[in-house]
Amino acid sequence: MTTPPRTEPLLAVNELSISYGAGIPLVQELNFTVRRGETVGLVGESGCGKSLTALAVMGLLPPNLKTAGGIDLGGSDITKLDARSLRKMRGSQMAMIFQEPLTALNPVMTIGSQVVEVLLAHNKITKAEAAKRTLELFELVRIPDAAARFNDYPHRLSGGMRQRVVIAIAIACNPSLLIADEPTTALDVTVQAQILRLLKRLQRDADLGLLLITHDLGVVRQVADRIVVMYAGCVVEEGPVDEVLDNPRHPYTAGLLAARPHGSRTAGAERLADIRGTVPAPHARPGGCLFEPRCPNAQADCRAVRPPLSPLSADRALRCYHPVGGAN
Amino acid sequence: MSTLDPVAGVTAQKRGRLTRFVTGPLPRYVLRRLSQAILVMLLVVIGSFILVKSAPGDLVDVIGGNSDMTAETMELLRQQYGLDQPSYIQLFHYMIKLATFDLGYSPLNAAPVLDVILGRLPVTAILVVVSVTISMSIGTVLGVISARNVGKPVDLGLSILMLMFYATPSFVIAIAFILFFSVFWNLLPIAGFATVGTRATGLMYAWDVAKHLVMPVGALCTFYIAIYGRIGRAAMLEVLKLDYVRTARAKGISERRVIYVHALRNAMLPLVTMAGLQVSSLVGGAVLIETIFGLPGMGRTAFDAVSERDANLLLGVLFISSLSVVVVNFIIDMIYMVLDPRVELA
Repeated sequence: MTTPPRTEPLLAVNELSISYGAGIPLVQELNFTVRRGETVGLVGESGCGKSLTALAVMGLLPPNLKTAGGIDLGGSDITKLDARSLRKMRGSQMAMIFQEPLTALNPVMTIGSQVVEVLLAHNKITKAEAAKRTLELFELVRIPDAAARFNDYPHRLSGGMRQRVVIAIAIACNPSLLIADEPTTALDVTVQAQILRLLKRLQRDADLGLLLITHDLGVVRQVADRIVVMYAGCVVEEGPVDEVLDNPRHPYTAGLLAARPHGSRTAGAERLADIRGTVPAPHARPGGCLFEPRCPNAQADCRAVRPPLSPLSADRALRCYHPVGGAN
Repeated sequence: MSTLDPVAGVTAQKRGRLTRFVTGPLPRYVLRRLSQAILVMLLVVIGSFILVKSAPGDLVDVIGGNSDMTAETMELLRQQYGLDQPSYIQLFHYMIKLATFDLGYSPLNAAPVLDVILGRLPVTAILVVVSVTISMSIGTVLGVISARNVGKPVDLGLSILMLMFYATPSFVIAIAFILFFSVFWNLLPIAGFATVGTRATGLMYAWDVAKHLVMPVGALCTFYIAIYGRIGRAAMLEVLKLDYVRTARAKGISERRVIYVHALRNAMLPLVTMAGLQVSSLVGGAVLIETIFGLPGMGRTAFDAVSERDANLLLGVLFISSLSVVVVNFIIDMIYMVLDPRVELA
């Protein structure tokens, strides 16, 4: 298969900042891009701003959060669109899969009607056509016995099945960007693998840009092409998945990797490594490097000025003065 | 026919909600509810009988007080009405008659109790149905508007309005209504259910009744509008935070659809519960309003029965009121099932 030229990114987040009220920054100067057909894994601990970033891209941030910077999707800046144009883009050009399949579906509507609804919102088709398309979508996301399931209410379905319905809703109108916020966290391991395979297949078939938000580095390695590591609202390291995970340069990335349990059963006595300290709260972030208080490599210059995100190579960037493996 | 016929799927979806009532375990459920209802009604009858009989004075005292009657004549009257027998015998006789739906004779109205009540039940029924419908719709809409503008001036203004509605007794509102709409502006009839001696039929009669009901319904509604408004606001605020509302927004459907289709239907359950309570309390409890506006309803009937010591009539009103409450509760449970598919027959 020939790949189309991928110079133009599908989604470009430029210097995005999200702040609460007068000025507590939750996300700062965030930059990353997602191209068509590319999967970008956005990783970081809970509370680092991953989900906020996703909601900002969907234009669904609560009104008490203010954004600065730009989010460019297919040529229009989401932060500057009026509510109506934004609503038209949601569901049709960008779509989102949420973390909790158990609560993401309306309990008093049948799963079929919840898919039909999004189809009717963005296409000029009849109800019958929408119902037909819904059944096709159910087949596509591998919901067994789709026709019989059409009129089921969500509480009759397992978590994995519900997540398939959520995915069907998300891909119903052929969006170009799909955001998956921890899509498998609430599911058990075997179902997790099925859902990831499904997402990957759908992405390949439709040449989707997929922004996968997760804290699971295993999932990222399995699915993503590029990885963006966030810490306390900032990108600290980004690059191709294999390069970053095999050769992490930021002490935080290295710490995350070290903190993962390894498969070997003989190492039962071994204690899991951790990163000492905790993520600073948004209002108590240090003025210098955000990771400095927890960093094994920290030195005086880290405290003084926050390091910039500087390119390491053509497709890798790092925000650190004293990276793992020595300076360049 | 193919199992993948989507049109059949959609029509089946429409049918699905209704067929739940016909198929499945419904008959057994109805039977169980029915036996519970009979038990409840039995307790109501015994309880109200004991209460009514333990109050001092009886019908004969009232009749005797209004005329020159000797003690012997009064004793004779008591024997005639069976009031000289021990209470448990009276209760036994009463229940035997009740089993054949004979509620006894009302000396006050010189007519069988059942006829008296059946003549007045429609007045109360119209009053209750109209007030519940109006107060629930207005209250719900106000609650939704409040919730969508939470913390803003609109929400604050509505909160103040609801507080006033909540705090003002309905009889004060009723008197204010009469003062303005009837006395000062002469827009609405001051009292009664229909114009006395009216010969109007059909639509003209309905229009006449409607004009008479505007003020009583308005006075009965204000308090409940406040209740529905507060409950609706709280329920909507709760629901609007939930994940599926975010999913709905992420679909790019209109905000109106998000609010009224996705959120409101989930916020309806507490409002429906309140409607059940409202019906129960209005069926026999609109005494003040019925008295002020001269409406011959159930509350008024009960009040008259108490003051005239017409025990049979009072017991009849209590019986029919409790019966309607039991029926309404059953209907409310059915509505729960329509609103929320997770509610199963149990």
